[in-house]
Amino acid sequence: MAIDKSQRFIHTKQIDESGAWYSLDNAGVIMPAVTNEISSGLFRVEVSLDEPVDEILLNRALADAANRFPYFNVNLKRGFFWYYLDQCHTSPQAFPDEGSPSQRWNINRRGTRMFRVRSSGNRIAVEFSHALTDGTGGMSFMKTLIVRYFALKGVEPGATIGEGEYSDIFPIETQPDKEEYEDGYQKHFPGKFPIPEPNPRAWHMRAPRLPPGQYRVITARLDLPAVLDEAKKRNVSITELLGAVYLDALQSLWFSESKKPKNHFISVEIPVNLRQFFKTKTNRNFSLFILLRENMQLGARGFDELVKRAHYQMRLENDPRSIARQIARNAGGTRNLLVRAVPLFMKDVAARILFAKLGETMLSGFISNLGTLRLPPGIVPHLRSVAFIPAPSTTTLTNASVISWKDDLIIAFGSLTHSRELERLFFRRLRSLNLAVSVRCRDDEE
Amino acid sequence: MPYCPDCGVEIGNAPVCPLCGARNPRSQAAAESNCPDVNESNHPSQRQGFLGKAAEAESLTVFEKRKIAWEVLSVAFSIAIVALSLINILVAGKLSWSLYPVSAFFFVWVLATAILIMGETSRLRYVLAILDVPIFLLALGLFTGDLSWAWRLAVPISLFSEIVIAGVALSVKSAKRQGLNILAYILVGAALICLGVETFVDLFAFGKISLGWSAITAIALIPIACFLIYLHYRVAKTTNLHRLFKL
Repeated sequence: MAIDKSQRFIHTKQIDESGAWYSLDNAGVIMPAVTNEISSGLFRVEVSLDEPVDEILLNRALADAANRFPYFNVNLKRGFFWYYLDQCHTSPQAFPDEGSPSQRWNINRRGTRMFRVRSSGNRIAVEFSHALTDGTGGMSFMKTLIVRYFALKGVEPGATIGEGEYSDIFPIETQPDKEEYEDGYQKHFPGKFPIPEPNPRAWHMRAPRLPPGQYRVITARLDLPAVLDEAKKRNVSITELLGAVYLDALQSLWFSESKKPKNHFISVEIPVNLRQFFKTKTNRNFSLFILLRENMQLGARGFDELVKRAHYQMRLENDPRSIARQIARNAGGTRNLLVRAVPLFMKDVAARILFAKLGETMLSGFISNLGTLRLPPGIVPHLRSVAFIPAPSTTTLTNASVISWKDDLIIAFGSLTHSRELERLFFRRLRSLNLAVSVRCRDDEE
Repeated sequence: MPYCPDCGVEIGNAPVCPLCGARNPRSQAAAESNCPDVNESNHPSQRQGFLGKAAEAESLTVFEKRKIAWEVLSVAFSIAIVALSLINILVAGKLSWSLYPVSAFFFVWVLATAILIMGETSRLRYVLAILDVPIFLLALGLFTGDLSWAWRLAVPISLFSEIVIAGVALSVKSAKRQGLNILAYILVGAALICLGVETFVDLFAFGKISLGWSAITAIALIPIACFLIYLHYRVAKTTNLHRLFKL
């Protein structure tokens, strides 16, 4: 398929006699080199239904959804210069949801899909590699899967899907638009923008690791209107409020270290969905981040101060031009002929160095807010709960993610360490704001 | 619903609080707290001092950074040139050995000026970059008192190499599909430079051309380049090898 030279970086799909294949998007391109079975890069969205999952119907729904999202039904292959995604010619099957989430799934292993669907009892979970998509793309797939599952059970959605409020839920009979798998970063490459200022190394929590293959998830449910009221009272958004709570917890951990840490910055990464700034229908990765940072050499800050500072830091950075500088740096790198001409085995080494320098070493943790989960009214009564679980990280050890569902705000902490101190400090701070918090840890109950 | 007495969070039917490990009061009334108190008063000392430094890096554009780098380079070179010249005059009473490092500084400075200061579309940038090497070599010839090696050997090799490199760069830029062909162009360029170097060395030393090592190098490189060109334009275009070698 001939591709216009100016569009070569944007369109990821190509077809040859072996079938379709896709380039990785600009954010995903680094992931294969830095993921393994533990730091799997898999984030997870899970829902609990009002009855046990019918495995046969789930597999049928999964086949239909994978057929509608062919650009997700792929596995990773090595080229001479780049990784690429090879179209799978079979339908995926759901796996039992046993053991820890987002573990023991290495996309670098031959024939491994870039996502997996798991189910157990009433629960359906989808785990997506960040090499393939971000939370928005993963959620679109999950919603389509759930709606299709219920359609096979004879439950009507009760609203028109594929448009309006439910435009990210695709009727399975429709054909994918080529914009769904375009590289949004390359589409909105701003040209020669000054690159962002370098970030200092951030402090990381040090604590004994859980045995390999274990990833603990602590989930908390809060009353969404109450959290909204608290945020409004302070004239900040929920994400800003939670970012400040996270900084507050990290600050307490930093000062509780017996020896003064060498790295005196604590930093929380807040992922930003770029679809709010730049027009695209892509379901591939299209998010970047803002860092909330505090210098601990200046002394501990009170919580109110942290909230204000988180608010202003977010407001300053959360604008298209600031974000475009990150796009210019990242997308510009993969456009550079010298970079492109480097063989993949050398790129892998460089990617690991870059990831260490520009990636997780500059953040102490992240909290990703996926926003509100909207499902058609016919489906809503059949769902008991939802959760969005962050991808595991061997550098930051513990991270958090947030999703809103009906009147609940669900915060999930995923951790590779025995220590629950960060989670404890985080939720105790929320309690100190008179917010009711209901906490569960599946590991303790199973 | 049961609450953790220490953390204050609702913990359902969990045997222990997921956060601090305290026993669920429903399962044991006298729950032991192993949840140390965490509040701001834990860190009184840290809340007092405000002596830390907060030196924020200045926000600069790429051009501004380049300009600063060029300025620093210019000042450093000027100091070095003045110091070297003065020492040379002080010791030898005239400018002699210092001319070599001074000319090298000028060479690097002109190149830095072309790359750091002049715009990418400026013709003067390329003229300066191209002429810088031959002029530096001529200057060295002048200082050694024998211009012949510079004029007959060094300058032709440098100009020839620059022409070949420019040719390779243009070929790469104008390629409609970039992949293994880029590697092929680079190999051809390397072979040509080897041939050129031996040709000029032969002419300078013996007055005639008798190709040896460079011909062997070229014979090894050119077939590989041809094979890569074949793979790129014939095989990778019509089979799925294109995905393997996509650049």
